[in-house]
Amino acid sequence: MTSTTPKTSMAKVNKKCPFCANGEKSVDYKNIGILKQYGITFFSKIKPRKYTGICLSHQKRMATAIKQARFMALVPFVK
Amino acid sequence: MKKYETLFLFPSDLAETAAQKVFEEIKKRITEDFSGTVVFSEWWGKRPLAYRIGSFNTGFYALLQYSFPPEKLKEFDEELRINAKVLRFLSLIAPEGEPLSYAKLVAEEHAFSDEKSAGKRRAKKRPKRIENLKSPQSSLLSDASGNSEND
Repeated sequence: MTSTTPKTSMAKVNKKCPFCANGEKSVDYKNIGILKQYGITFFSKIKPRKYTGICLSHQKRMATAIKQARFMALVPFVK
Repeated sequence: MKKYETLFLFPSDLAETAAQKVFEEIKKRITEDFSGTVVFSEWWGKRPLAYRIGSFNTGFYALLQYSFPPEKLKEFDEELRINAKVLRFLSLIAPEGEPLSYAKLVAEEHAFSDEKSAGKRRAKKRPKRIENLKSPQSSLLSDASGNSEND
């Protein structure tokens, strides 16, 4: 039962980090458009790196940015 | 002197002019009492909150960038915390480069809004349903009309 499912279904999609591509160092918590596009789901949960393709350093900055935006009521905790 | 950035959230039970006055007072306090300088300030205006804070569903936002003596920041933050006319604030070290204007931020927010994506989903589904519903209905109707004519 180990290899019944095809491997491609759960394979990581190779995307490039959009912040590295633009040469941006930090993620701004005030830019809600970018948070919505890359950082959070429809229900305002933090998207895992697996689906967005953001690099680790930017993902960590993104996570803090989302938490800061939540505190300032720019983005909901739960929808 | 270090450059800091604070986003203020004023409660909506104040009038907009009153909230702006509070903002001006804070700016005055920075420049006069703490010998700092205001680098950038922008009044965002009234915005709906993402969730309810106390009894408020809306609030006035204002962004301020200023250079400030780091040793006095704790004192200043404590002052803001006690201030009843400031609902929330977030002080951070200012990011590099010029801050984005509020108009640009709103434009980027609208470019990727939930309503838009939800509307797209609905728009895709609707015509399919109508097509599926129409074909059996029309056939049934024609059958019924044919039967009535025969009777």
